[in-house]
Amino acid sequence: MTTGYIDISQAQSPSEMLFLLSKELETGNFNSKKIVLNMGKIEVNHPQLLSLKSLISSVDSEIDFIYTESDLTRGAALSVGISVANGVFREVPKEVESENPDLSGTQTPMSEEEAVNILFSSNPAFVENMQTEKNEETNNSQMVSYIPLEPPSDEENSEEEQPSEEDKIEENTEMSSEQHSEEAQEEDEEEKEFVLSEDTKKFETVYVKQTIRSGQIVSHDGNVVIIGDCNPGSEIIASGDITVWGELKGIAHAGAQGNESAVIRALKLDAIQLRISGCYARRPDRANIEFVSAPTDTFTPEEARICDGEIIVFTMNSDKIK
Amino acid sequence: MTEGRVIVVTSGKGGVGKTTSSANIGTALAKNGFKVALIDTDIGLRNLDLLLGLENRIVYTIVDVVEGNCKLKQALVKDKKNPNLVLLAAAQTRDKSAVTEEQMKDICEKLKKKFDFIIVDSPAGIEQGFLNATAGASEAIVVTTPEMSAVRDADRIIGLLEAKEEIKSYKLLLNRVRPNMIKTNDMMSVDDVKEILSVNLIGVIPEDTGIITSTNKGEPIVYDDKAKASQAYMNVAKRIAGEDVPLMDLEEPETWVDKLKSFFGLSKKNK
Repeated sequence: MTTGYIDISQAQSPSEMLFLLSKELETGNFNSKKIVLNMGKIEVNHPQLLSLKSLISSVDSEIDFIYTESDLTRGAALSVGISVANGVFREVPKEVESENPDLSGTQTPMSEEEAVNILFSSNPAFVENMQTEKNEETNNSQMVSYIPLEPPSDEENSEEEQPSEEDKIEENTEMSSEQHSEEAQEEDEEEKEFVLSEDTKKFETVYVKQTIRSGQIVSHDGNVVIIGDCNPGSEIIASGDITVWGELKGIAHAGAQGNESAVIRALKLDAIQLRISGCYARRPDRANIEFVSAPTDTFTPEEARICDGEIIVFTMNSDKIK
Repeated sequence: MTEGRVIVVTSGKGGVGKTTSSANIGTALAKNGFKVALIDTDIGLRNLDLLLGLENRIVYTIVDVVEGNCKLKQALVKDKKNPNLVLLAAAQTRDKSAVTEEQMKDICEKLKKKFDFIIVDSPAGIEQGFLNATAGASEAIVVTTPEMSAVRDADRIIGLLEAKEEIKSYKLLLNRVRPNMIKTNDMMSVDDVKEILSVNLIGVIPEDTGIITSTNKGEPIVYDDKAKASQAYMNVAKRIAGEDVPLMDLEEPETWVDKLKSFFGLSKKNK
């Protein structure tokens, strides 16, 4: 395995970092490499690092070590078993030192000139319970990597005309943060049930029992339950939750009227795009390679919801649904 | 900056390679440094996004633009690899009547000011979709294959294009040519097609299995420098930009078996 170097230190936020990393992995030649990441001052937490790790493993590469100037990132990296190199704290594997004497000898991250091919990308991949440290070893199991997609904005007057869904986000901010903390508690306490929120209950639900094919739209002011598959090119739009008892491969837009606590769940979540309220996420490009996924008897139902302004996909553990 | 050129890629018959040609010509022009906008006008049966691997990035479509849900600029999806290339995608959940010729003209006029080339991918047929696609164009590329049915349809399309005043020039792109079949007289030759249609050629693209792989990967074949079809599309892009490039030699190198056959007089070539 050869070493590749990716610099994402110019990213301003974790989500921008994810953009850069995924872009770089998609366009650069980073297959089957040991990757050295320069993360600069960005603060990255535990789940985000797991995402990043799974993004890199999706191209058959692995993280060799990272450079970081943030204590938070360093702590998170060590807890998920990623080696860290920087001025104060250095834990560089020996073989790396011999391979890259120049890098490990210096205390500062390598300069941009030294970096052959610098761009950074990252990508959120997500696991149930990722907030709790004890599950960190599951980071290679069922993971879905969705990449945040910024809704296109008009650079000149970006504040003037945004898509209508976004207008109502602010009204719901409080609600969603309550919702969020509620869910976080749930995970910590390992409760046995997913609790339906008040929001979910107040919508009426429509059931559709058929395969939704390309070009078809199911749109409803309330919750939508599809019993069947949603093929690529189809769209499901609901002001409440979307539940697909089958494979979701089209576009799903939950909380379309601006409800940030809406969720999208499916037996198999393989959507081209997920949209919740004004948040957008797209499927990683590499997921296009398989024509048909291998037939399987077991499904891993997944649920997408907004956490910290980003759409995150959680595996729904069967013991929690019972 | 001079105004951009609006080129419609059309054929009449389906499946001859309009979308593949649009994607590759657009990418090739962008590779050569031009600013290119690709417009998919096949509303309801869009494919261009898939060929470019941009399916998962589309938020707004051409229908959103004409209905005023977003600004034109917001609907332009940037290509993954080439910043010079953008795509204006078609809506999948609507039909051809969602856009009118006037609206299409308007979009082309706006894009002309910002791009060197606007490549419009037309749907099959000669109905509303075709009329929309050609509405804003001043040049046309007629794609055909060396088959009787495709050539007939191309002839019909050329007749319709001639009747349109706005179309100043139209050229023929002969796709899926198999030199070996021409050699054995099983396929119309390039000259035969030229003779029937009496239109100047802009390029000849050989049949290439790599096209199928590239479509499935969502990566136009012009990124694969070795493929013959890739070189042919790069040549087409150069000709569009005004360079004088000779048609490439499609002959496949003779294998030793062929040589042996011709030595014994068995090869069909000698008939």
